[in-house]
Amino acid sequence: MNKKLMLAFLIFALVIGISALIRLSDDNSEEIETRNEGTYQSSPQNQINNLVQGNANQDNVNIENLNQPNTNIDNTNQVNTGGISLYELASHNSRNDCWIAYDGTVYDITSFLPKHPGSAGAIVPYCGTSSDFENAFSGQHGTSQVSRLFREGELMGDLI
Amino acid sequence: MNLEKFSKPVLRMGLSLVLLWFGFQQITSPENWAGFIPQFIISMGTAAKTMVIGNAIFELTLGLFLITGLYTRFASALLGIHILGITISMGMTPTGIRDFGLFVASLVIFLNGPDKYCLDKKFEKNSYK
Repeated sequence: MNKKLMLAFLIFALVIGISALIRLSDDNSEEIETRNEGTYQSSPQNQINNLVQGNANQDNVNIENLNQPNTNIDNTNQVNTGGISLYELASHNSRNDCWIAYDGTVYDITSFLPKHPGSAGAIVPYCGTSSDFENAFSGQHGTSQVSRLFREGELMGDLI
Repeated sequence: MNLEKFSKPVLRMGLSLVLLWFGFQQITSPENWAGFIPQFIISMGTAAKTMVIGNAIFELTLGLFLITGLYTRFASALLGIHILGITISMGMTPTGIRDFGLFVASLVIFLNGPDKYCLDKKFEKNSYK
């Protein structure tokens, strides 16, 4: 076998090996995280989920400690009375259900996430947020992509 | 000063670095890229995450071929076809247009063939000895 072909195989094997190592280490860390979720119930995300499910008192939730923006959450806004509360907005905080608020208006951008040129992962951390999303959005795009946001996002209502 | 001699390797290495970056990102966070896999591929029964990892290995391998200048024409042709496929599937979106630029870059590398800094040239020289 000539040297050129051997080098090509070597590069290919190197890529496969390094990729396998990276994936194995990532899978292991995911497994550890999954295990930890079973015992650690008071993470900010769990607290948000508990709030949404109305279990705040059962879990001694301290709203001030929530690692989410706009923590002046109004627990009386469980029922949507024409607008969308920060509380409700915060419940749509995942890749499969992503609402954001921009300039006082709430949009469902779940279907846009896979189309985001900068990858869905760049937006997902801001799902369910208002000011955090606005800051990140403006920091990245200024006002150049606002019209696209309005076009791609499904209008859900005003933020109250 | 003759800057022209740098044009081919700079283009080749620039495109390689882009591919290596994308490949590395896909390997480390495949879930962030799963949304880009066309629906018709997912409907064939392959998991999107597996597809992303396969794509990453493809891009990393050919990126390394290109940066070292190994099988330059072959690598750039494969990458050109690959990027053209992405461009078509993305359509007239900012990403699609951007990928069209990458496709043209890989086409130029294919048309140029190996430059003097490529391993291809070194192997070529050795074979004449």
